[in-house]
Amino acid sequence: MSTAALPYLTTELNAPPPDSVAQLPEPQLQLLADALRAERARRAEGLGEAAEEALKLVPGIARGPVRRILFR
Amino acid sequence: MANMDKLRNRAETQKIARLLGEDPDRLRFLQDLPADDVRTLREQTVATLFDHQPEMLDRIAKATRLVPAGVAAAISQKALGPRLAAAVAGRLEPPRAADIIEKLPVSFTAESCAHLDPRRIPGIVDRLDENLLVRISVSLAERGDHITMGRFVGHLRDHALERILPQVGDDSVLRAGFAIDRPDQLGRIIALMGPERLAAVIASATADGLWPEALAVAGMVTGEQRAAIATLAARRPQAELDALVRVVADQGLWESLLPLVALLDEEDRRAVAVLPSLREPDVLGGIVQAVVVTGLWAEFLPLAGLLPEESRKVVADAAGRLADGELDALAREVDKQDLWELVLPLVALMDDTGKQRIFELPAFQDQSG
Repeated sequence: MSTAALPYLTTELNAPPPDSVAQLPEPQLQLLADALRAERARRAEGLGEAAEEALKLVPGIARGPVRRILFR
Repeated sequence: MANMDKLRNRAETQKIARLLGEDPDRLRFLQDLPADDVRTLREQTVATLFDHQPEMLDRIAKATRLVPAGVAAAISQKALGPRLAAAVAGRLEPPRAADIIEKLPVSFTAESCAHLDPRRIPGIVDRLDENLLVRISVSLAERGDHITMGRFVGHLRDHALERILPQVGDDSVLRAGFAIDRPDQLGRIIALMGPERLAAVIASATADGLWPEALAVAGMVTGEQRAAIATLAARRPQAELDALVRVVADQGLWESLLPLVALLDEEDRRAVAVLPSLREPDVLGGIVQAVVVTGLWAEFLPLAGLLPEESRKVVADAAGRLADGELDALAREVDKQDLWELVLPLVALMDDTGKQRIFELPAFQDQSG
């Protein structure tokens, strides 16, 4: 029965998983939690650089307000 | 629906794998869980990935509101790329997201669609120009992105579907149908397809190795449409039908196939009963085991009655070898469904030990008394 991996998955899911999922063996719970964490990291990847790039495409007149929103 | 769980779980597992950027084979263990739990896990995955995002995404979304849609589109394409653009679109109000999407190249939009928050799709689809929706859908089919198609297709209006269906291949129709997020919409889509296209789609199942997808689609529709799919499949050439049965035997999908066979008229059912695969002891033994687990005796016995005698003997012997608990469950189910008339010819084919075990069952004693 699972111990450390279930709280880890619950944290990554931001919710307790369904009962049958919660009863999966530890390595499978770990795999799901790791996959969630890795996907979240991939989604955040390059965000800062993308914001810098985005700013370059904003017309001059709007650049000031856009910069303040992006990098306040 | 319990007897669809296996294929439904397979689709759900593929969807979770897609959300997590994982190989579906590594998540195969999810396929053995209750279908509702796997669906809930998918919904939780969507919620946690899309509701808990870095603050910078909200800032970018807020900033794009200050610039014209054309500039926001340029930012999406040149600075953000498909994944981040989709994430930003998910933070915008659907009308604003639709305004920006309309200014992007279709290929970029199609790629972005795969990363959109699935919960935002209905609001966005509702506001996009139909011509664009058609082009995006065709592009998704060309990219082989059937999971994303499955998220969209249930939200498309009839007129858009009527334009899209002729432009996508039969295999895409089956794959997107298998992945559909809103199975309640599948009947509407099949009705729009018309009988000839439906026949072509079912005919493509063998060539494209898509019988599980076809079975899943049949399982998600009801009434006449399900019966029509069953009949179309049963009237395929014998070699194709045999291929279907072998796929079902290999993958343990009897609980999806037997309810369809039960919908056939006697002539079509006979075409199934004489298949070469249904003479093989392993295949027949697998059916008996599956029927014991699922209780689909009413679906199976009419087919069993039409099998060649040697096949019926194999079925009878397999039933006669069931463990006590399984045999008792069989008898109770047969009694409940009043199927003794179909069972007795099989009992007659059993060896003496098997017959004796059946005759000693309380359920049999009750019915013969």
